[in-house]
Amino acid sequence: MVPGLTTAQQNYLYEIAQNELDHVRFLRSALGADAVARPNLDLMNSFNAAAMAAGIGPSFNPFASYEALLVGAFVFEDVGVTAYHGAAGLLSNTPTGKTYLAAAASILAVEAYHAAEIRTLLIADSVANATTTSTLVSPSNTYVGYANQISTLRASLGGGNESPLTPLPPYAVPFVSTAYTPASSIVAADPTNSIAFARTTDQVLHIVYATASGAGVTGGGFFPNGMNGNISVTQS
Amino acid sequence: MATLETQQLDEVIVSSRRRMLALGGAAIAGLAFAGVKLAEAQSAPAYTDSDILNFALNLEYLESQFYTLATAGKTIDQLGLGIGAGTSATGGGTVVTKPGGPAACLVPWTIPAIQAYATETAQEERNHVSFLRGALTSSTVAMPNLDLYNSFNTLANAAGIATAFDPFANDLDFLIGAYIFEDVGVTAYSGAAPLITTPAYLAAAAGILAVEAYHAGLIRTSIFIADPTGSAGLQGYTQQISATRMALDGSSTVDDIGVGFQTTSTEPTGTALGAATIVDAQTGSPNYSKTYSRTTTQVLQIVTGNATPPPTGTKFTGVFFPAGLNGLFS
Repeated sequence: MVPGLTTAQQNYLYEIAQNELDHVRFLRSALGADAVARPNLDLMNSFNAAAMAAGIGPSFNPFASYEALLVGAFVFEDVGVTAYHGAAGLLSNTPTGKTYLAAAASILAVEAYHAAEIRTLLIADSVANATTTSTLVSPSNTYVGYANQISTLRASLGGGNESPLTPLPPYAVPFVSTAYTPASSIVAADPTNSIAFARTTDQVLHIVYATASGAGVTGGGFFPNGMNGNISVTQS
Repeated sequence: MATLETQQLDEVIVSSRRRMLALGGAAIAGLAFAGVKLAEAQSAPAYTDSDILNFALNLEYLESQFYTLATAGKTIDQLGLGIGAGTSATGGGTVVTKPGGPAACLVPWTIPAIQAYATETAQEERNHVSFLRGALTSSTVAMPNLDLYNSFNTLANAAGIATAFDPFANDLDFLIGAYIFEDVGVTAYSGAAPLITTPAYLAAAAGILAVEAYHAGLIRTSIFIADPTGSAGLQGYTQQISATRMALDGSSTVDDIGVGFQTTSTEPTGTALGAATIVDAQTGSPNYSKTYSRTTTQVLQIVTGNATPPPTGTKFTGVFFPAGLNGLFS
């Protein structure tokens, strides 16, 4: 359990926890006898290896603080969006497939709410911990920087498909809005048409297995013994 | 920790609250919508993928005009986007703005992060307009007449928030204005996506759905940051707007939840305030944290403020679309 959370920080996290638990319950219920068992998971060595690969440091504990947890959550949420987006098109065009598609679209949307929430909280936290003088506010970009190092790592494993966070630039005190023109990048999407990225199942496997391209990878990263089900071995 | 940002927020909230209170007691016009329900089953006309994308384009015209006015003080056509039918840039409808015209709609931002969020969102909504127009080519519908002034007053009245509401007045009122749109966009794309048959269009619609949900998450998180306990009144406004949307769309079950708090099974017992409701979806059985979907008719009921459909063969008109939407779904 993450120490020192404020009430508001708890409010955010309890909701996301419940949403994700609900999705597990919904999918298990929809799949019935076809539901796969939970595979072995690794939420310790996986983060350390990711931090090393991303150049953040030799280890990373996402449960150490609120900010660390935001970075940990950042590792997952945008990937969830791209995974559901890529997979939605694979569902069949039959009435049953359309029913599943509607459910998948609704879960896709929730993952996008989460992704936006995490990205917004990272930017808000950079302002909350800003260095301020009588004339200038300089947001603290330590954790935004970590998130972007993760984003770069994901891009290298998962075929690009990433929008790094744009750190909020320093601003003068008193604030003059007409002299301030940056756009944030809360949304992860193709910058030319603002349509969210999609990843193939293979690209998602490479990210969660933390392995660069190559066929025949059966596990690693967050799934030390691989995922369960037909889509569990990298194809390319 | 009292940071500069929280101090700024406090100041904006205080001034915003004071102004809202000065507007007098809550209107009760919202009662006019209460209790009006209709059968959810709609007889769908024969449609093509283009009809669905054009329906979405009407909504994107509306959203892009709102955000572009707020961040640039200009309309999208003043920025060079086409608004005409087919591939014609001109010939689209008009936009009713607050007195003073587009320039008067530029929000006097005081919170840098919210200004940056709004600038981003404006660009993304303009990109959606350009994308859909590019995909529809000769089938593209023109921008219909839009109202971004009387509409907010009418909705605020109906929701019981105030007799008048200017979403361009300041950062926080802008968030409330944006709140009115984004969750509706999510439910509209979610409802329409399964109707699409062309795989490429379906993938694009799913990708735009995701972006609308990113926007909704951004807006709702920003509202929660500005009003983390509900004492500033912003959470209450979102709940009133959600209740109004639900009354308008005639859903017999819950399909809209404002920003606030909920009790969940995963939180430790005795938790203060429980979990937030950033995501517009009910947790637990039977909904299991899935966002809602709305039919095209339900979306029309919300954006035109009509709980009851018009006579067969006539368009829904009112609120944001004073002369109705363009296209088959109207």
